[in-house]
Amino acid sequence: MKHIELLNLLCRHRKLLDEAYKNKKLLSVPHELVEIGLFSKIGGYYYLNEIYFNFVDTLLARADFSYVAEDFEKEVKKLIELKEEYKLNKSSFVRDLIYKLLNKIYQGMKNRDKRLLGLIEKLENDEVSELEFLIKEAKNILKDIEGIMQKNETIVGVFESFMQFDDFKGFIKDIMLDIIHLNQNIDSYLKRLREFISQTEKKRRFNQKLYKIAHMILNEDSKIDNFLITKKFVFKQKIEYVPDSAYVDYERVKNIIGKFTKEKKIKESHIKRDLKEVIALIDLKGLIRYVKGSDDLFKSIMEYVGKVDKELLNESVRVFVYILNQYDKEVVYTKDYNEYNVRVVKWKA
Amino acid sequence: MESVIFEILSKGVIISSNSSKFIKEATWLMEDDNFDSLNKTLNRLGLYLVGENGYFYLSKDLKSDEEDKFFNAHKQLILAIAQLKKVFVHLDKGHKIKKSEFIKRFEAKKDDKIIKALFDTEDLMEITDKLFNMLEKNYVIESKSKDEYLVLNAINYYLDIVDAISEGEVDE
Repeated sequence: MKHIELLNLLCRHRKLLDEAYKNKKLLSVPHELVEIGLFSKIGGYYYLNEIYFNFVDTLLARADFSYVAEDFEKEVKKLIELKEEYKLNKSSFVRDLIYKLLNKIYQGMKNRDKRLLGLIEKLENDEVSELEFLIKEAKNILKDIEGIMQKNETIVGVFESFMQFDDFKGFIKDIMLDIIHLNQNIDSYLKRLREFISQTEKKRRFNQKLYKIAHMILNEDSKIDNFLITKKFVFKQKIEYVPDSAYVDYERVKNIIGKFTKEKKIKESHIKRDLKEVIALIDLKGLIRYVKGSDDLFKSIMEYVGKVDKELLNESVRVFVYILNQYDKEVVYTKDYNEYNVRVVKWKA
Repeated sequence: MESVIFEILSKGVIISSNSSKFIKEATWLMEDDNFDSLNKTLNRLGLYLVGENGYFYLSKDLKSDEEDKFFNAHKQLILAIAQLKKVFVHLDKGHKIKKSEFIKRFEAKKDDKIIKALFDTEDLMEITDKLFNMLEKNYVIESKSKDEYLVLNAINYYLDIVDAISEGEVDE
């Protein structure tokens, strides 16, 4: 079969290949694909050849956790042997073999780089696997890459040694910059992996702490209650405060001032009205006359606003704030809070 | 906008900047000038506008008789988040989670004690609905569709409480 025929065959069965690539195994495949060795039957299923996965994953910069990075140890050993042989006889046959091996290692390093990047990205983007599993995998990959880094130094040394031969000088020069760049990539992968492991371990520690605290809560552990009640929080001021205690209890306001119309209606008018409009509607001069001498400005404002227009009652807070800003010199802030949890502010006598 | 925000916050809502429901309010609050101005006004009333890590809430000094209520409410939420994190171990603000995925993984990750303490049912669908509703009601997650929910920044309000508990306190 010619190369072009193979490409046509693959193209013809692209949908089936895509399915096999995604699902790893199929129940049936055309005979011609089995014949060329692209699929093999094991048990009742047809499995796609590993070569195909390697080819596609390399081009698409993908890797799964079963990927084992090559270290080219055998190739380098062979290369050293060939170098010695070439020194002696300068044979063109040996020269071609050396070129082939140099190229194989160089291309292999480039492919490995792509797949390692894919592997690290897969780890970083994994939001499903257990944290323990990811940490274990990341540590294994880290160990592999540390080994690769050491072996890369040997490769660079061996490649450089070919600079002594005019036949290889140009080629080595051309690829050396790339090789150095690939080594830098390896260095950055190590940093990324170490960071990933550290962050994932931190996440795992935090989850364990959360589960432990959840169970202390369930067991009504006095330690956790004491901790919460005495508020021995490490740093946050915010824990001193409570977000879920409503500032104004509108139900209570209703009882005191009178009944609201439908709440939704009030809400709408509240949102749409401009403060200037509200001030104009309530007659500011009248309000000031009413609140002069008040012992609790907010309550007096609510009383007054409620009398003017019950639908404006929700605006009491804004009016209160407006008065505080505009008549700052006329009011006195006390340390107390009224029943609405609003600070009691008096009008100066 | 100040009054709109005040009305929302006064009901105990934690506004997350990644919430699509409160996007206008969060955008307004993220402007330093707006935040400072509203906070200044609120401070005069003895209230505090707190804005951190992408979420905002209204707070005030805690009175001693409010402590129990405050902590009990937080305890329930911490339990609910702990169960959710057992199922979704990577759970973090901004993540999207699915009820269907929760249901799929729940049996293997179920914490019987937490579930028993939070809900009076053993029915998986009911537990799922109640847990998601509880978290949504407390602004920890926001519904994007019938199945999909967005984890709001406000989850960190509760996780920070856990984080703030010193290691020694837990290990003792």
